[in-house]
Formats: sequence, C-alpha cells, structure tokens
Amino acid sequence: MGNAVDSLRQIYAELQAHRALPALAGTPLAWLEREREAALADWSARELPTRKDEAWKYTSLRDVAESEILDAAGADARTLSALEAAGLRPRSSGSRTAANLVFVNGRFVPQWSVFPETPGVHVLPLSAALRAEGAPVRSALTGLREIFASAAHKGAETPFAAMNASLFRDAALIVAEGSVELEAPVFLNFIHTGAFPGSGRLTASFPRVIVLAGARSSLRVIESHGGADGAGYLTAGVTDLHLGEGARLSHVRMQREGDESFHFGTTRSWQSRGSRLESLQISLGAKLSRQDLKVRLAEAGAEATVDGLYLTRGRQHADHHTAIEHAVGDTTSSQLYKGILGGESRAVFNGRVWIAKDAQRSSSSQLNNNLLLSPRAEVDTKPELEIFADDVKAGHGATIGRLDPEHLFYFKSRAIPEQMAVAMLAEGFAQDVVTRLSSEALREALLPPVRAAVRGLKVEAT
Amino acid sequence: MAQALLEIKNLSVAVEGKKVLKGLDLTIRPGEVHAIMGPNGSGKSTLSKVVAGHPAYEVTGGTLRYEVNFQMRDLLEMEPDVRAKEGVFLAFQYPIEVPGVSNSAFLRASFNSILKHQGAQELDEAQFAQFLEKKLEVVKMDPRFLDRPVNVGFSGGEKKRNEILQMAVLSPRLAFLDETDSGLDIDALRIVAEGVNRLRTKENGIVLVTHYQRLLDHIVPDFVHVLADGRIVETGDKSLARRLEERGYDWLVK
Repeated sequence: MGNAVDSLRQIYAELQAHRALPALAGTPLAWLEREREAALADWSARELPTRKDEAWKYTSLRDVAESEILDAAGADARTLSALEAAGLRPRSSGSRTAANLVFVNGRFVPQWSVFPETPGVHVLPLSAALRAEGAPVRSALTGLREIFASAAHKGAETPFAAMNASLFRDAALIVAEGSVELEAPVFLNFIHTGAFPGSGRLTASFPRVIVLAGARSSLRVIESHGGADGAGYLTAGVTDLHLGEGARLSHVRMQREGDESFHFGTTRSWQSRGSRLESLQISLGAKLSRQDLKVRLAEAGAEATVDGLYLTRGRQHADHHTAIEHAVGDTTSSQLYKGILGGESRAVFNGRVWIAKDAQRSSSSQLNNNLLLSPRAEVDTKPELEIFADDVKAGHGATIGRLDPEHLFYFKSRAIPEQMAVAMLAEGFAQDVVTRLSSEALREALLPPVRAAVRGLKVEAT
Repeated sequence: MAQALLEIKNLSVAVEGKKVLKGLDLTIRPGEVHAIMGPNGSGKSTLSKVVAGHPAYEVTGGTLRYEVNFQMRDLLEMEPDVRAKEGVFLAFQYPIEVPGVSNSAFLRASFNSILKHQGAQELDEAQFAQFLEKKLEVVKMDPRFLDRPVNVGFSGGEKKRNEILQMAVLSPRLAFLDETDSGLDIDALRIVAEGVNRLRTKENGIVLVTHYQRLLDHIVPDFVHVLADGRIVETGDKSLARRLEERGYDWLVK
C-alpha cells in the first residue's frame, strides 16, 4: 500500500533537483514559481480529504490516497508510437478547426499539433510562449499576474488544483486579442498514459490550460482528456478562463479517460463587464472523476451558462461541483446538468450559488436532471444557495427518474426494438445540453461522440 | 373463405389480477373492417392492448393466432416490436408524449426497423423525407409537426392524426384503432376517417374500437360486434351500430 501525498512530494523533490519543472525565473511568469512553492506547502502538509470533509462527502479518495504515484512518462518516441498503435492519437478534426494542440502526459507534442497563424489569436504551448518575442503574447503573460490576483474565487481549492500549481510541466495557452472573432473551435487534446493494470500504482499528469479572451473577442475551445482503458493513472488538471469586457467564450471540457483512471479537473472562470461564458462539461470516462467549476461574475452584465452531462456505467463514479459567484449586481447565471446512470454507478452534483450583499438584480437558475437505467445506480444532488441580496431571482431544481415503461411500449409497438428505444430516449434526454450550444461547429464536433456514448448505454430491469 | 389474419379463441385476460376478458372469440380476415362497441369497462381497450403486446396484460387462457407467411403463429410468442414488424398496429387511445425525440426521427426509426426486418435497404434522412411527404397528405398534416418532439404540445386531435400518420407510414396488415374518434371535432373526425379509408385495402384488416356510431358513418364497417363483460355478446352488420345508438346496450346486457 502506497501513500499518494508522500510519493507526490517525492516526485516534486526529484523534479526540482533535476530542474525538470518549467524554468520561470526571469520570465513574465516568475511569480508562478513562487506560487508553485506556496501550493506545495498547501497540499503536501496534509493527507487527501476523506468523506468527513463536506466537499468530499459522497466521493471517496481512498483508492487514490493509498496508491503509490509515479511521475508519468514524457512524450518520448516510444510513448507516442505506443499511443499511435493503441489508436489514441487524436485525429485532426477537419477544416473547421482553428488549431489542434496535443499534449501527452502534460507535455506538448509539436509533431501531432497544428496551430496555423490566425490573425489576432495566439494558440501555443506555454513553453514556447515564454520564449516568444511577439508583443501580444508577452503583454498577455505580463498581465496574467494581475488577472490571477483579482480572480480569487470564493471557497477552498481542491488539493488536486494545488498539486497542479506545483507540478504542471507545460500549459496550453490561448490568447485572443481584442475584438477578434474566431468561429472555428480550438482543440486541446490531452492524452494520458498509465501504469500497468493491477500494479497498484498510478502515474500522474498535470495538464494546464490558460485562456485569455480579450475585450469583445469571441472564441470557442474544446478541451479533451483521454487515455487507454485498463491503465492506472491520475489526472489533475487546471483550466483558467479570463473573459475581458464584452468577450464571448464557449468552453467545453470533455472527459473520456480510461476506465481505470482517476480524473480531477478544476476550471476557474473570471468574467468582466458584459462578458458571456458558455461552459459545457462532459464526463464519459474514468473510474472516478471529479470536476470543480468556479465562475466569478465579477462585473455588471456578466453572464454564464454552465451546463454538464455525465454518463456513467459499471462502477463508475462522477462528481460535479459547481460554484457560481455573483460578486456584483446585474449578473446572470444558468446551470443545466444532466446525467444518465447505469450499473452500480454513482454521480454527485453539488451546485453552489453565492450572491453578494449588493448584487441586486442578479438572476440565477440551476437544474439537475438524472435518468437511472439501473436499480443499483445512485445520485446525490444538492443545491447550495447563499443569497445575501434581496432583489434577485434564484431558482433551483433536481429530478431523478427512470425510463417510463409506457414510453418503451409505445416505441416497441412501432417496431422499434428495446435497445434502440432506450438509446433514442436516452439521447432525447441528454442531447439538449449539446444542441443548445450557440456554435454550430461545436454542436457538430460534440454530437457524434455524445450520441455514440449514449447508444452504448444499457437499461437494466428494476 | 379467405385465410384468417387474426384468430382469437376463448381469450381470457387479467389486469392486476382482475379478470377483464372472459372467453372472447373474434376472427378478422383480409379486407375486412370490424367495429367493436360496448359499454365502458367492457374490455375494449384491453383487447387492443393485448393484441399489441402490452406487458401489463396477462393472458390467462385461450389463443391469439396471427397469419405470417400463410401460417398461423402464436401472437403471444412474439415481442411487441416483432408483432409490429410483422404488420400489427395499434393506434393508441392516449398517444404517448416523448420529449426529446423528434416526430420524424421516430417515424424513420420505426419505418427502417420494418425495412430491416424485411431485408430491404433502410432509407436515409433525405429519402425518408421524400417518402413522408406523400404520407402527410393522407391526414393533411402540417410538415412542421415533423420537427417537434413526438406528440409533445399536440392537441388531442393532432395526436390522433399523428397516430394515423404512423399507420400510413407503416402500412400495417392488421390495425386496431382504439377510440381514435374520441376527442375529435367534426372536421378532425372527417380527416382522420378519410385517412383510414385511404389505408383500407383488400389485404389488410382494420378494427375500430369505438363508443359512437358517428365514426361508422365515415368508415363503414363490414361487421359490428358488441363487447360486454369481457365477451362478444352480439355480432351484426352496420345496422347493429344504428340500433345501439337508438336503444343503448341494455337490451343486450342482462
């Protein structure tokens, strides 16, 4: 039996000794190096949370805490050819792609990536950005510190977000200059490899994404995380989104990790005046996954649509924690999370909405709908509304249901076999989180994998 | 006499332990239209549901045999979707609303499932749209209803029309129409009845389950049966329906 925190502490010491972490001193990100140390002090001083912690009440980290953790392999030729052989190399998504960056175990893979020049939009790995001479990227990096300082979200970070701050090796950086509009999506593909099945060990990767959408810019990003089934690994990712005044950003985080993996993702969004975020989190894979999404509506007129979809089967566990902070008045948030659960799987949805004392005329809605395909599946859903202003609109609701036998009979009476009826009904239940995305390119990119995943679901007798 | 399409003998059915049908006999031959009338609770809807294969209805006795490739097969051995593939259709008294599934996708899945069963090439979206266009005329349905979720937000009349549209698409060999006339105004009744008449052929059998004579003014049946207390107590031609309208059921039900 290993100890996750001990082994991660050891990994950090070795990486420092070999100067294997990004060298940030003397760059505009020198301050991130100090954060690295501060984060280390935070996560390495304590054990992973247990179910006695309110934030982890329904999600047990025991399997992770008792694992020995190894540093994941680099993106070397052997790793890449193994991924290629396993069919895990991300395919280029066709002409409607602005750029496609591929990272293996958190390291950038230039030969699998395409990032053509697009005027006003800079898509590149942080490792390259630190050396970049171009004024826009440098000034964006220089401005990062101020943004991060002002973007402090309410509520504690997970230990996994702190680990990422200490241990990230590279990052995907997207900078959109002011007023630039890019309809074609930017794809960020993170692939993870793992330790041998049954070895009781996990390899760890720390993917990082930074998106800076300049004032009145318009941008779409699909961030995808995947790996091989059977491989034991842990992903602790952090994504930071910053929306300038009037910016429009669609961000999709697609989790399709291998079935023996543990995935932890933190997404933090900070929004200026009149900006609009459209966020969609899709969780399809991993043995256990936890997504934390924090949105800070920092200035008037900021709006966020925060949606999610989770499909779980077997003994999978998927946990989604959202925290929306209406820091000022005249801000709007709407959440729709949907889940379909089969087997003995479990899902958790915890939706926190915090409306500040003077945040009058704020509006917030939250809905969590679940469809159970098996009598042994279980959902824990909990809204957490903390409202300190008096002139606000805030609603929430949750449903947990099963397929209606009368629906199934209607389909069968029309010659549609049961398995297909289930697929069509499940698809009908799930797809609106995708179809209501504002961008056609995003809908086109996401509907096929979501449909394929839904069609793989099976109903079990109650 | 032509071979029977459906042959029901001494059928007994229970729902949640309660006996509803108690020894019912009925034979339908190709080209025939039968009307089944009877007081509330006599078992009319139960008969339709049993033929379609609803799982809540338990057959406790008797046989239901249906002709497939000139052989009489036990209908109870066939799953509901297999019955539908072999040409059995039920127009629901209360059509089911299905949020999230578009009417056209539902119809196409249904039609393709039958094509697949017959070993024919399935239709793609464009081919099916073309095929469907002609079927819409049968019930004078606005094409906009195709993009809507199945029956969601449809009026009572629109739902019934949608059932007949499904019938037009599937061309069943044996169709049970369960109170398709209830809740329809005169105009809708006429459209639905005309639709059914257009689908009436020498090969298929149609069973109209109804409370009212007025549907039978539009779709003229070959036989009228009176179902009471789980049995057919009287069979006649269309004039029987008129007598029932005038005299009620009391003279038949002791």
